[in-house]
Amino acid sequence: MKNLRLKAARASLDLSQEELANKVGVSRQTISAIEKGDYNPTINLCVAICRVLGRTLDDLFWDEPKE
Amino acid sequence: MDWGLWIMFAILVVMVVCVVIISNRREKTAAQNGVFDERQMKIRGDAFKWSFIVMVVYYMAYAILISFAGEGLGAPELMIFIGLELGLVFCSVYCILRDAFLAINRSFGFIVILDVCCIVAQLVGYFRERAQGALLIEDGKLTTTGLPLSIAVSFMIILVALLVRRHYEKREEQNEA
Repeated sequence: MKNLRLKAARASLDLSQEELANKVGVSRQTISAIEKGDYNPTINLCVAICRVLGRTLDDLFWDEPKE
Repeated sequence: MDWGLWIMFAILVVMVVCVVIISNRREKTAAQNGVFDERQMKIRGDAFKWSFIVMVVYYMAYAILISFAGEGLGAPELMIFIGLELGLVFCSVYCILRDAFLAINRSFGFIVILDVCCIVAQLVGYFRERAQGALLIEDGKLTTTGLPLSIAVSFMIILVALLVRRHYEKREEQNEA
């Protein structure tokens, strides 16, 4: 499932995937894979992304269960 | 020394100089350069596992062929070496196509230069042997003359995979922009 909230949060700070990747310390393709929903990051990476984007884990990575 | 050895020596010197220059330059760049991130590590783990399986399957098939036919398709040294190359190429291509071959911020151009140097060096060695009268196929079987050729082909496959991946990556970057 695509992570559009991450993409929106990144875009709101006017960061490219490459810039976010450099700040977090991963490759650009990893950020791209997370946004596309192709890769589930570890909690450490989630926290690092949240810190850079100034958001919480709930904001970016928590999905409410569908009823 | 003949011309072939001089060319191979020159290629080796160029490769060593490239490695030294680029390594020195990298030391001055960001701390995370040269490491693989968690996604890449996972993919590389899968690549090692599958390349090992590919090698095992090849050697089993080769053993069965030897058992039933009594002889392989080529010199034993060559056939054994091809198994190693198969594993190496499989692992490399698997990683390349899933963006886990190059570490973070590693230079694509540098790897391509190294790859091309290896191909040229192997082809020079191969054609040198052929020029001295060595045969690639003798009595219907591949000879060890094919060793440098097989290495060159392996690196060519890796090169093609790198270029294809680079092409798709450029397109992805353009789409993102």
